[in-house]
Amino acid sequence: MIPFDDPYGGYSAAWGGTDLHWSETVIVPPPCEPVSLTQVKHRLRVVQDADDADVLLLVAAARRQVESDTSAVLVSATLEQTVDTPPSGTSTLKLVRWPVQTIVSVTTYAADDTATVLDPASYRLDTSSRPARLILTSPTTWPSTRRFQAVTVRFTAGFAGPMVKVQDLTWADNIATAKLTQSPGFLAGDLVTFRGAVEEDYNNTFTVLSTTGNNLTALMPIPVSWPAPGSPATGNIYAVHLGTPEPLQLAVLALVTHWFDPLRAGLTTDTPTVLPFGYDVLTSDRLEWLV
Amino acid sequence: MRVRVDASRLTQWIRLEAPPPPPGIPDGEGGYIDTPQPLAPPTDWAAIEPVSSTTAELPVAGSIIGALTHHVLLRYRPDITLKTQLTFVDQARRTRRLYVRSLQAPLEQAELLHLWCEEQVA
Repeated sequence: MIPFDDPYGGYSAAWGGTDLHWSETVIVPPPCEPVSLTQVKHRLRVVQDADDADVLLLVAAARRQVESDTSAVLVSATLEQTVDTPPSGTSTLKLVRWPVQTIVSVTTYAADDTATVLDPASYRLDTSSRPARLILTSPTTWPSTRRFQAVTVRFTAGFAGPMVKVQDLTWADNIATAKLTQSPGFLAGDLVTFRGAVEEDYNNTFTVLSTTGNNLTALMPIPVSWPAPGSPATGNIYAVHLGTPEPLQLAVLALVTHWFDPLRAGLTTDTPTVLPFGYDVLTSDRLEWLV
Repeated sequence: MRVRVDASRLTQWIRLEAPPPPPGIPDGEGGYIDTPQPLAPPTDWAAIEPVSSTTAELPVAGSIIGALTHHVLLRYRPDITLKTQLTFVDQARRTRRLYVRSLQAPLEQAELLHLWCEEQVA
Protein backbone atom coordinates (compact mmCIF):
# COMPACT_ATOMS: atom_id res chain seq x y z
CA MET A 1 0.00 0.00 0.00
CA ILE A 2 1.07 3.52 -0.57
CA PRO A 3 2.00 5.11 2.75
CA PHE A 4 -0.17 7.94 3.92
CA ASP A 5 2.81 10.09 4.82
CA ASP A 6 3.75 10.28 1.17
CA PRO A 7 7.21 11.82 0.76
CA TYR A 8 6.15 13.70 -2.34
CA GLY A 9 3.21 15.31 -0.59
CA GLY A 10 1.44 14.59 -3.83
CA TYR A 11 -1.94 13.32 -3.10
CA SER A 12 -3.16 15.80 -0.54
CA ALA A 13 -3.13 18.43 -3.27
CA ALA A 14 -4.41 16.08 -5.93
CA TRP A 15 -7.26 14.86 -3.81
CA GLY A 16 -8.10 18.27 -2.47
CA GLY A 17 -7.83 17.41 1.18
CA THR A 18 -5.30 16.62 3.85
CA ASP A 19 -7.24 13.77 5.40
CA LEU A 20 -7.38 11.47 2.44
CA HIS A 21 -8.57 8.01 3.19
CA TRP A 22 -8.86 5.18 0.75
CA SER A 23 -9.36 1.47 1.12
CA GLU A 24 -8.95 -1.48 -1.14
CA THR A 25 -10.83 -4.74 -1.44
CA VAL A 26 -9.90 -7.77 -3.52
CA ILE A 27 -13.04 -8.81 -5.38
CA VAL A 28 -11.62 -11.59 -7.54
CA PRO A 29 -8.22 -12.86 -6.37
CA PRO A 30 -5.56 -13.72 -8.95
CA PRO A 31 -6.10 -17.13 -10.54
CA CYS A 32 -2.51 -18.23 -10.01
CA GLU A 33 0.74 -17.14 -8.43
CA PRO A 34 3.48 -15.46 -10.49
CA VAL A 35 5.96 -18.21 -9.62
CA SER A 36 5.21 -21.91 -9.47
CA LEU A 37 5.86 -24.43 -6.72
CA THR A 38 8.50 -26.07 -8.94
CA GLN A 39 10.42 -22.85 -9.43
CA VAL A 40 10.42 -22.13 -5.71
CA LYS A 41 11.42 -25.66 -4.70
CA HIS A 42 14.34 -25.60 -7.11
CA ARG A 43 15.46 -22.35 -5.52
CA LEU A 44 15.09 -23.84 -2.05
CA ARG A 45 16.81 -27.10 -3.06
CA VAL A 46 13.83 -29.02 -1.71
CA VAL A 47 12.68 -32.26 -3.33
CA GLN A 48 10.38 -33.63 -0.65
CA ASP A 49 6.67 -32.80 -0.73
CA ALA A 50 6.22 -32.48 3.03
CA ASP A 51 6.51 -28.68 3.12
CA ASP A 52 4.58 -27.90 -0.06
CA ALA A 53 1.66 -26.34 1.80
CA ASP A 54 4.02 -24.05 3.72
CA VAL A 55 5.86 -23.10 0.56
CA LEU A 56 2.60 -22.15 -1.16
CA LEU A 57 1.67 -19.97 1.81
CA LEU A 58 5.05 -18.27 1.58
CA VAL A 59 4.59 -17.67 -2.15
CA ALA A 60 1.24 -16.00 -1.56
CA ALA A 61 2.70 -13.91 1.27
CA ALA A 62 5.72 -12.91 -0.81
CA ARG A 63 3.51 -11.96 -3.75
CA ARG A 64 1.43 -9.72 -1.49
CA GLN A 65 4.56 -8.16 -0.01
CA VAL A 66 5.93 -7.36 -3.47
CA GLU A 67 2.54 -6.00 -4.51
CA SER A 68 2.38 -3.71 -1.51
CA ASP A 69 5.99 -2.56 -2.02
CA THR A 70 5.51 -1.74 -5.69
CA SER A 71 1.76 -1.01 -6.00
CA ALA A 72 1.79 -3.51 -8.86
CA VAL A 73 -0.70 -6.32 -9.30
CA LEU A 74 1.47 -9.25 -10.35
CA VAL A 75 -1.29 -11.48 -11.76
CA SER A 76 -4.64 -10.20 -12.95
CA ALA A 77 -7.18 -9.56 -10.23
CA THR A 78 -10.35 -7.54 -9.79
CA LEU A 79 -10.00 -4.88 -7.11
CA GLU A 80 -12.17 -2.22 -5.60
CA GLN A 81 -10.81 1.13 -4.49
CA THR A 82 -12.91 3.33 -2.27
CA VAL A 83 -12.17 6.94 -1.41
CA ASP A 84 -13.89 9.10 1.17
CA THR A 85 -14.51 12.14 -1.01
CA PRO A 86 -14.46 12.72 -4.74
CA PRO A 87 -11.45 14.77 -5.79
CA SER A 88 -12.30 18.45 -5.46
CA GLY A 89 -11.53 20.82 -8.28
CA THR A 90 -10.52 18.10 -10.70
CA SER A 91 -12.29 15.49 -12.76
CA THR A 92 -9.39 13.08 -12.29
CA LEU A 93 -9.39 10.23 -9.82
CA LYS A 94 -6.12 8.34 -9.46
CA LEU A 95 -6.08 4.58 -9.08
CA VAL A 96 -3.55 3.21 -6.65
CA ARG A 97 -2.64 0.05 -8.54
CA TRP A 98 -0.91 -0.60 -11.83
CA PRO A 99 -1.29 -1.78 -14.50
CA VAL A 100 -5.03 -1.10 -14.64
CA GLN A 101 -6.69 -3.02 -17.47
CA THR A 102 -10.36 -1.98 -17.40
CA ILE A 103 -12.85 -0.18 -15.20
CA VAL A 104 -15.68 -2.50 -14.21
CA SER A 105 -17.87 0.09 -12.51
CA VAL A 106 -17.80 3.43 -10.73
CA THR A 107 -20.32 3.86 -7.93
CA THR A 108 -21.00 7.02 -5.94
CA TYR A 109 -22.98 7.17 -2.73
CA ALA A 110 -25.25 10.10 -1.94
CA ALA A 111 -25.75 11.51 1.55
CA ASP A 112 -28.72 9.18 2.08
CA ASP A 113 -26.53 6.19 1.09
CA THR A 114 -28.21 5.81 -2.30
CA ALA A 115 -25.80 4.13 -4.67
CA THR A 116 -25.48 5.50 -8.19
CA VAL A 117 -23.53 3.66 -10.86
CA LEU A 118 -21.96 6.12 -13.25
CA ASP A 119 -22.67 5.74 -16.95
CA PRO A 120 -19.53 4.20 -18.55
CA ALA A 121 -19.77 6.89 -21.23
CA SER A 122 -19.26 9.59 -18.59
CA TYR A 123 -15.66 8.65 -17.80
CA ARG A 124 -12.52 7.46 -19.46
CA LEU A 125 -9.59 5.42 -18.25
CA ASP A 126 -6.04 6.62 -18.82
CA THR A 127 -3.86 3.54 -18.50
CA SER A 128 -0.71 5.00 -20.02
CA SER A 129 -0.12 7.19 -16.97
CA ARG A 130 1.20 5.90 -13.72
CA PRO A 131 -0.84 6.01 -11.59
CA ALA A 132 -3.69 5.24 -13.96
CA ARG A 133 -6.37 7.90 -13.97
CA LEU A 134 -10.13 7.81 -14.15
CA ILE A 135 -11.19 11.03 -15.91
CA LEU A 136 -14.76 12.27 -16.12
CA THR A 137 -15.70 13.38 -19.62
CA SER A 138 -16.58 17.00 -20.17
CA PRO A 139 -20.07 17.79 -18.89
CA THR A 140 -19.91 15.27 -16.07
CA THR A 141 -18.91 16.40 -12.59
CA TRP A 142 -18.66 14.50 -9.37
CA PRO A 143 -22.04 14.35 -7.63
CA SER A 144 -22.44 15.46 -4.05
CA THR A 145 -21.78 12.51 -1.83
CA ARG A 146 -21.83 11.27 1.71
CA ARG A 147 -18.84 12.06 3.88
CA PHE A 148 -17.15 8.68 3.89
CA GLN A 149 -16.59 5.97 1.31
CA ALA A 150 -18.15 8.19 -1.28
CA VAL A 151 -16.72 6.79 -4.51
CA THR A 152 -16.05 3.14 -5.24
CA VAL A 153 -14.16 2.12 -8.37
CA ARG A 154 -14.08 -1.52 -9.30
CA PHE A 155 -11.36 -2.34 -11.82
CA THR A 156 -9.28 -5.16 -13.16
CA ALA A 157 -5.54 -4.82 -12.86
CA GLY A 158 -2.52 -7.01 -13.37
CA PHE A 159 -0.19 -8.25 -16.03
CA ALA A 160 -1.56 -11.64 -17.03
CA GLY A 161 -3.69 -12.20 -20.08
CA PRO A 162 -6.75 -14.45 -20.07
CA MET A 163 -6.36 -18.02 -18.85
CA VAL A 164 -6.98 -20.56 -21.62
CA LYS A 165 -8.04 -24.09 -20.68
CA VAL A 166 -5.65 -26.83 -21.80
CA GLN A 167 -7.33 -30.03 -22.97
CA ASP A 168 -4.23 -32.09 -23.46
CA LEU A 169 -0.62 -31.50 -22.44
CA THR A 170 2.17 -33.92 -23.29
CA TRP A 171 5.94 -33.91 -23.10
CA ALA A 172 8.49 -35.69 -25.30
CA ASP A 173 12.10 -34.89 -26.20
CA ASN A 174 12.14 -31.56 -24.34
CA ILE A 175 9.06 -30.35 -26.22
CA ALA A 176 5.73 -29.76 -24.53
CA THR A 177 2.67 -30.01 -26.78
CA ALA A 178 -0.58 -28.44 -25.61
CA LYS A 179 -4.04 -28.70 -27.14
CA LEU A 180 -6.09 -25.70 -26.03
CA THR A 181 -9.82 -25.06 -26.08
CA GLN A 182 -9.38 -21.84 -28.02
CA SER A 183 -6.72 -20.11 -30.04
CA PRO A 184 -3.90 -19.37 -27.61
CA GLY A 185 -2.97 -16.00 -29.06
CA PHE A 186 0.72 -16.68 -28.66
CA LEU A 187 3.44 -16.17 -31.24
CA ALA A 188 6.64 -18.15 -31.55
CA GLY A 189 9.11 -16.73 -29.06
CA ASP A 190 6.45 -15.66 -26.56
CA LEU A 191 6.49 -17.06 -23.05
CA VAL A 192 3.67 -19.40 -22.08
CA THR A 193 2.97 -20.34 -18.49
CA PHE A 194 1.09 -23.49 -17.48
CA ARG A 195 -0.66 -23.78 -14.16
CA GLY A 196 -2.76 -26.44 -12.48
CA ALA A 197 -0.96 -29.59 -13.60
CA VAL A 198 -0.61 -32.35 -11.04
CA GLU A 199 2.86 -33.10 -12.43
CA GLU A 200 4.64 -30.06 -11.04
CA ASP A 201 7.27 -29.94 -13.81
CA TYR A 202 4.66 -28.52 -16.19
CA ASN A 203 3.71 -25.61 -13.91
CA ASN A 204 6.37 -23.33 -15.24
CA THR A 205 7.08 -20.79 -17.97
CA PHE A 206 8.35 -21.92 -21.37
CA THR A 207 9.24 -20.42 -24.74
CA VAL A 208 6.65 -21.01 -27.45
CA LEU A 209 8.10 -22.75 -30.52
CA SER A 210 5.06 -22.82 -32.79
CA THR A 211 1.29 -22.46 -32.80
CA THR A 212 -1.11 -24.15 -35.19
CA GLY A 213 -4.81 -23.53 -34.69
CA ASN A 214 -5.57 -24.34 -31.08
CA ASN A 215 -2.33 -26.27 -30.62
CA LEU A 216 0.91 -24.99 -29.23
CA THR A 217 4.39 -26.42 -28.78
CA ALA A 218 6.90 -25.04 -26.31
CA LEU A 219 10.47 -25.76 -25.40
CA MET A 220 10.41 -27.56 -22.06
CA PRO A 221 13.95 -28.73 -21.30
CA ILE A 222 14.51 -31.15 -18.46
CA PRO A 223 17.94 -30.99 -16.79
CA VAL A 224 20.39 -33.86 -17.14
CA SER A 225 19.45 -36.87 -15.00
CA TRP A 226 16.15 -35.25 -14.11
CA PRO A 227 13.23 -37.70 -14.09
CA ALA A 228 11.04 -37.21 -17.16
CA PRO A 229 7.66 -35.66 -16.33
CA GLY A 230 4.59 -37.86 -16.59
CA SER A 231 2.94 -37.54 -19.98
CA PRO A 232 0.17 -36.66 -20.63
CA ALA A 233 -0.21 -34.24 -17.74
CA THR A 234 -3.27 -34.50 -15.50
CA GLY A 235 -5.22 -31.92 -13.55
CA ASN A 236 -7.16 -28.80 -14.38
CA ILE A 237 -4.52 -27.13 -16.56
CA TYR A 238 -4.53 -23.58 -17.88
CA ALA A 239 -2.18 -21.73 -20.18
CA VAL A 240 -1.65 -18.04 -19.62
CA HIS A 241 0.57 -15.28 -20.91
CA LEU A 242 1.79 -14.27 -17.48
CA GLY A 243 3.61 -11.08 -18.40
CA THR A 244 4.71 -10.33 -14.85
CA PRO A 245 7.97 -8.34 -15.12
CA GLU A 246 10.96 -10.56 -14.41
CA PRO A 247 12.32 -8.32 -11.62
CA LEU A 248 9.06 -8.73 -9.73
CA GLN A 249 9.04 -12.51 -10.22
CA LEU A 250 12.61 -12.59 -8.93
CA ALA A 251 11.63 -10.44 -5.98
CA VAL A 252 8.95 -13.00 -5.03
CA LEU A 253 11.49 -15.82 -5.33
CA ALA A 254 14.02 -13.86 -3.28
CA LEU A 255 11.54 -13.30 -0.46
CA VAL A 256 10.45 -16.95 -0.34
CA THR A 257 14.03 -18.24 -0.22
CA HIS A 258 14.80 -15.62 2.41
CA TRP A 259 11.89 -16.69 4.60
CA PHE A 260 11.74 -20.46 4.19
CA ASP A 261 14.62 -21.80 6.31
CA PRO A 262 14.46 -19.21 9.10
CA LEU A 263 10.74 -19.91 9.51
CA ARG A 264 11.37 -23.64 9.66
CA ALA A 265 14.11 -23.06 12.19
CA GLY A 266 11.83 -20.93 14.35
CA LEU A 267 12.50 -17.34 15.25
CA THR A 268 15.89 -17.14 16.91
CA THR A 269 18.28 -14.37 17.75
CA ASP A 270 20.14 -14.89 14.50
CA THR A 271 16.99 -14.68 12.36
CA PRO A 272 17.80 -12.23 9.57
CA THR A 273 15.70 -9.11 9.70
CA VAL A 274 17.13 -7.30 6.71
CA LEU A 275 15.65 -7.83 3.29
CA PRO A 276 17.45 -10.19 0.92
CA PHE A 277 20.19 -8.74 -1.20
CA GLY A 278 18.86 -7.14 -4.35
CA TYR A 279 15.25 -6.92 -3.21
CA ASP A 280 15.26 -3.13 -3.19
CA VAL A 281 16.66 -3.02 -6.71
CA LEU A 282 14.16 -5.55 -8.01
CA THR A 283 11.20 -3.67 -6.58
CA SER A 284 12.46 -0.18 -7.31
CA ASP A 285 10.02 0.27 -10.21
CA ARG A 286 7.60 1.94 -7.85
CA LEU A 287 4.45 3.83 -8.46
CA GLU A 288 5.62 7.40 -8.34
CA TRP A 289 2.87 9.26 -6.59
CA LEU A 290 3.67 12.58 -8.17
CA VAL A 291 1.08 15.13 -9.17
CA MET B 1 17.94 -23.80 18.74
CA ARG B 2 17.33 -25.23 15.36
CA VAL B 3 19.79 -26.29 12.70
CA ARG B 4 19.41 -24.21 9.58
CA VAL B 5 20.33 -25.10 6.00
CA ASP B 6 22.14 -22.72 3.72
CA ALA B 7 20.36 -23.77 0.55
CA SER B 8 22.79 -21.88 -1.67
CA ARG B 9 25.50 -24.46 -0.82
CA LEU B 10 23.45 -27.35 -2.18
CA THR B 11 24.50 -27.06 -5.79
CA GLN B 12 25.04 -30.66 -6.88
CA TRP B 13 22.17 -32.66 -8.33
CA ILE B 14 22.53 -36.26 -7.16
CA ARG B 15 20.72 -39.55 -7.65
CA LEU B 16 20.12 -41.87 -4.73
CA GLU B 17 19.83 -45.64 -4.84
CA ALA B 18 19.74 -48.46 -2.31
CA PRO B 19 19.59 -52.25 -2.64
CA PRO B 20 16.19 -53.66 -1.74
CA PRO B 21 15.85 -55.27 1.71
CA PRO B 22 16.82 -58.96 1.74
CA PRO B 23 16.07 -61.25 0.12
CA GLY B 24 15.42 -58.76 -2.69
CA ILE B 25 12.69 -58.23 -5.20
CA PRO B 26 11.26 -61.48 -6.66
CA ASP B 27 12.08 -61.73 -10.33
CA GLY B 28 9.08 -63.99 -11.04
CA GLU B 29 11.25 -66.96 -11.87
CA GLY B 30 12.08 -68.05 -8.34
CA GLY B 31 15.07 -65.77 -7.98
CA TYR B 32 15.60 -62.36 -6.47
CA ILE B 33 16.87 -59.06 -7.76
CA ASP B 34 19.18 -57.19 -5.41
CA THR B 35 20.49 -54.47 -7.70
CA PRO B 36 20.13 -50.97 -6.22
CA GLN B 37 16.75 -49.36 -6.70
CA PRO B 38 16.10 -45.60 -6.79
CA LEU B 39 14.79 -43.99 -3.64
CA ALA B 40 11.66 -41.85 -3.73
CA PRO B 41 12.17 -39.12 -4.80
CA PRO B 42 15.21 -40.51 -6.66
CA THR B 43 17.12 -37.23 -6.78
CA ASP B 44 18.17 -34.46 -4.43
CA TRP B 45 20.41 -31.44 -4.06
CA ALA B 46 23.67 -31.77 -2.13
CA ALA B 47 27.00 -30.13 -1.37
CA ILE B 48 29.81 -32.58 -2.14
CA GLU B 49 33.40 -31.99 -1.15
CA PRO B 50 36.43 -34.27 -0.93
CA VAL B 51 37.88 -34.89 2.51
CA SER B 52 41.59 -34.98 3.19
CA SER B 53 43.20 -38.38 3.44
CA THR B 54 44.58 -37.84 6.95
CA THR B 55 41.20 -37.37 8.55
CA ALA B 56 39.30 -39.73 6.36
CA GLU B 57 40.01 -43.14 7.76
CA LEU B 58 37.06 -45.20 8.80
CA PRO B 59 37.74 -47.03 12.04
CA VAL B 60 35.53 -50.02 12.75
CA ALA B 61 36.20 -51.96 15.93
CA GLY B 62 39.62 -50.41 16.23
CA SER B 63 40.89 -51.21 12.77
CA ILE B 64 40.87 -49.15 9.61
CA ILE B 65 38.68 -50.79 7.00
CA GLY B 66 38.41 -48.09 4.39
CA ALA B 67 39.08 -44.52 3.43
CA LEU B 68 36.39 -41.90 3.43
CA THR B 69 36.78 -39.80 0.35
CA HIS B 70 33.84 -37.41 0.31
CA HIS B 71 31.65 -35.42 2.65
CA VAL B 72 28.12 -34.83 1.42
CA LEU B 73 25.67 -32.37 2.92
CA LEU B 74 22.00 -32.37 2.00
CA ARG B 75 18.58 -31.56 3.36
CA TYR B 76 17.34 -34.25 5.74
CA ARG B 77 15.53 -37.19 4.26
CA PRO B 78 14.57 -40.25 6.27
CA ASP B 79 15.30 -42.87 3.61
CA ILE B 80 19.09 -42.60 3.53
CA THR B 81 20.88 -45.44 5.33
CA LEU B 82 24.35 -46.99 5.37
CA LYS B 83 23.27 -49.00 2.33
CA THR B 84 22.52 -45.96 0.22
CA GLN B 85 24.62 -45.22 -2.85
CA LEU B 86 24.66 -41.90 -4.62
CA THR B 87 25.80 -40.92 -8.07
CA PHE B 88 26.53 -37.50 -9.45
CA VAL B 89 28.01 -36.00 -12.59
CA ASP B 90 31.08 -33.92 -11.80
CA GLN B 91 32.35 -30.88 -13.66
CA ALA B 92 34.36 -33.08 -16.03
CA ARG B 93 31.08 -34.80 -16.97
CA ARG B 94 32.16 -38.03 -15.35
CA THR B 95 29.61 -40.03 -13.40
CA ARG B 96 30.92 -40.74 -9.90
CA ARG B 97 29.47 -43.21 -7.43
CA LEU B 98 29.73 -42.81 -3.66
CA TYR B 99 28.83 -45.33 -0.95
CA VAL B 100 27.51 -43.94 2.32
CA ARG B 101 29.73 -45.17 5.18
CA SER B 102 28.56 -42.92 7.99
CA LEU B 103 25.75 -40.45 8.45
CA GLN B 104 24.66 -37.93 11.02
CA ALA B 105 21.74 -35.54 11.48
CA PRO B 106 23.01 -32.58 13.54
CA LEU B 107 21.23 -32.28 16.90
CA GLU B 108 18.96 -35.16 15.82
CA GLN B 109 16.84 -32.67 13.91
CA ALA B 110 15.17 -33.45 10.62
CA GLU B 111 16.84 -30.52 8.88
CA LEU B 112 20.28 -31.51 7.66
CA LEU B 113 22.14 -34.70 6.93
CA HIS B 114 25.90 -35.14 6.86
CA LEU B 115 27.12 -38.17 4.91
CA TRP B 116 30.68 -39.47 4.89
CA CYS B 117 31.16 -41.54 1.80
CA GLU B 118 33.66 -43.75 0.05
CA GLU B 119 34.03 -43.41 -3.67
CA GLN B 120 33.85 -46.47 -5.85
CA VAL B 121 37.16 -46.81 -7.67
CA ALA B 122 36.80 -48.45 -11.02
